[in-house]
Amino acid sequence: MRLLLLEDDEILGEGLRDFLRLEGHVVDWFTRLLDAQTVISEPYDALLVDWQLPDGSGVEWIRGLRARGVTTPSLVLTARDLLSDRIKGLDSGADDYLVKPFAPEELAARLRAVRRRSAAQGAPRMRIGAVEIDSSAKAVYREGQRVELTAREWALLDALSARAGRVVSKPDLDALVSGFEGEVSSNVLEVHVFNLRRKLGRELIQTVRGLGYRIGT
Amino acid sequence: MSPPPSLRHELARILTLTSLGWLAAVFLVVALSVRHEVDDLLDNTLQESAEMLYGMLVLHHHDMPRGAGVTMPAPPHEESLVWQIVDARQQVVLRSHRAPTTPLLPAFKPGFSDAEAHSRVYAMALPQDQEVLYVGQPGPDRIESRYEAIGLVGASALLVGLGCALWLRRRVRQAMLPLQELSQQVQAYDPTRAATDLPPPARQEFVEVRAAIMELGQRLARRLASEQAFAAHAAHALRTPLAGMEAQLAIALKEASSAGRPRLERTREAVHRLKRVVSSLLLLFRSEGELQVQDISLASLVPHLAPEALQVEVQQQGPLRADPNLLAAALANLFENCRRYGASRCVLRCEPDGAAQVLTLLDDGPGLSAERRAALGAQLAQADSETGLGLRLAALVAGAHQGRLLLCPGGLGAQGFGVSLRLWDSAAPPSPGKA
Repeated sequence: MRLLLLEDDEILGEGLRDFLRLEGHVVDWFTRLLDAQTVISEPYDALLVDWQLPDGSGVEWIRGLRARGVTTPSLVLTARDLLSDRIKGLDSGADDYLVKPFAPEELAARLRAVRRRSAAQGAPRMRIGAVEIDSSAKAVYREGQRVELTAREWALLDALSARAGRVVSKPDLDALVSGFEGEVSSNVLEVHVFNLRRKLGRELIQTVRGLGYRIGT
Repeated sequence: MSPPPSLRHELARILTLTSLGWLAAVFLVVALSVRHEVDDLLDNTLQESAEMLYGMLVLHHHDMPRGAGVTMPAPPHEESLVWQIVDARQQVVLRSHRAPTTPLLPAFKPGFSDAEAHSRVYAMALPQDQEVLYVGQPGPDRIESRYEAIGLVGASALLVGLGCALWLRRRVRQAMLPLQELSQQVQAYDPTRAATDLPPPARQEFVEVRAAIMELGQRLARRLASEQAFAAHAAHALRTPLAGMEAQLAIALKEASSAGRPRLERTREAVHRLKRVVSSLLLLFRSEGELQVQDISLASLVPHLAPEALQVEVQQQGPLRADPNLLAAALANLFENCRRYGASRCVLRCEPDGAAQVLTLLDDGPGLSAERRAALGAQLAQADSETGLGLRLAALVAGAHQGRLLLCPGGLGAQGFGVSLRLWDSAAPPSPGKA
């Protein structure tokens, strides 16, 4: 998943960024709303937003995004644990609410849950033809046999499967897989697509000429 | 503890006693006055009758019969007045038919005299033959008249008095209603919500009371706002670094060599412990004594609270009603104590004891000496005790549930440590501190 993390605490922000990267996500970390605002048009899978930021309220920022039609799933990360705060946070348009201190593993699990909900997918396992994708275990099976993928191949498959049935443009796909710090060459993306097709079957990823790639029907 | 005396009952009692005293006094005065007036009236009647008879007897002196026991002719009738003419030899020579044949008075004495059997006699000398006229009224008739008059007037006074007393009681009750309304308004008053402010005073006497309550409420509201601001700041200041530590430790664990992992695991366990303590402290600080009481299943609650290194057996008999958050904070800290002081296993029992609900936690740790336990028990009863945080929190939580924390004589097995949280214990002394 490509994630936008808004957290002003250096130790926590860095810790979450590194942990989520180790989990296989692409994380763009910002400490101010102003910086996040400039990149919000990027294709993110989820927003992780602290409530209290140096230049404003993360919850109000989410409310503003929703008012502008941005539907990217969002999680509020906050020290506020009162019932009224949780209600306010969720009513602002956030999809989930996590009270600090939390285990990073729980955050990762909630991200997966938010992703499933946004994709209207109930079970953690997703089947596309002969391929089965287990997002919680980060495992892929083809006709019941586990297939080993590289981190980048997994990220690519994860990004496409989260948008199953929809065409994802090459730039968006590259951004989802690499973020700001990754590769920008479309050739590299095509190499990963080639490898995925080789491992999971040619029919899994369809090329939509001139537009991008699509997984599933 | 018996309830304090009721102002309304006190007023009603005073009113009743005053009314009764008033009625007795009124009855006495009325009785004396009526008796006096009735006697006057009867005496006047007696005198008037005697004077009329006198005239008749003087005018018809020669036409009247005379002789011992002679009565005046008259149709049968009830006589309330009797009369006699007594000659100089003290013989009754003429009388009314109910009058006795002996003189009403043993010797002539003009005017009013009291005769035998409470009779009243009016005596007059006749101008002829040294005869005298006695007109008398029988005692029972006078008494009957007197008591009838007293009875009627007294009953009327009593009825009027009783009616007034009842009306006054009702007025007292109505007059006390504004006080009752003020109590309800104060009860509903929440200084943090302007909508619940006390309405304008209904009585002059309430002006200062209302002002004092409003001023107290405003002070409380300012204090509460300050505490809430502090709590929010403290929550942020404490929780965020903890979350950062968690995240950094999670990465370190992923990246660590197998040799370094146990040390990081212990560090992470310490962070978890710190998280629990911080959460408990914040929860207790913000609870403000307003409990969110509900039925609790210990079997569901305990697995989320106990440290992994501690094996907890839950035995719940009967219902347990408590604030789940506060109870969780108390139990988490007590479990933490068990683990810190060397226990590996503990039993948590819940059982009713009369109206109280008793939670007993026994562990298999090294326990305490009898002297140390006694000292600890004595400290727990003091608000500023120096007991450990876990016990202090548990005592505060018990106090918030109208209960207390007691130390048990032993734990599991030969040694061990035990504490007992008695919730909803009517015998518990007031809580020594705010929860």
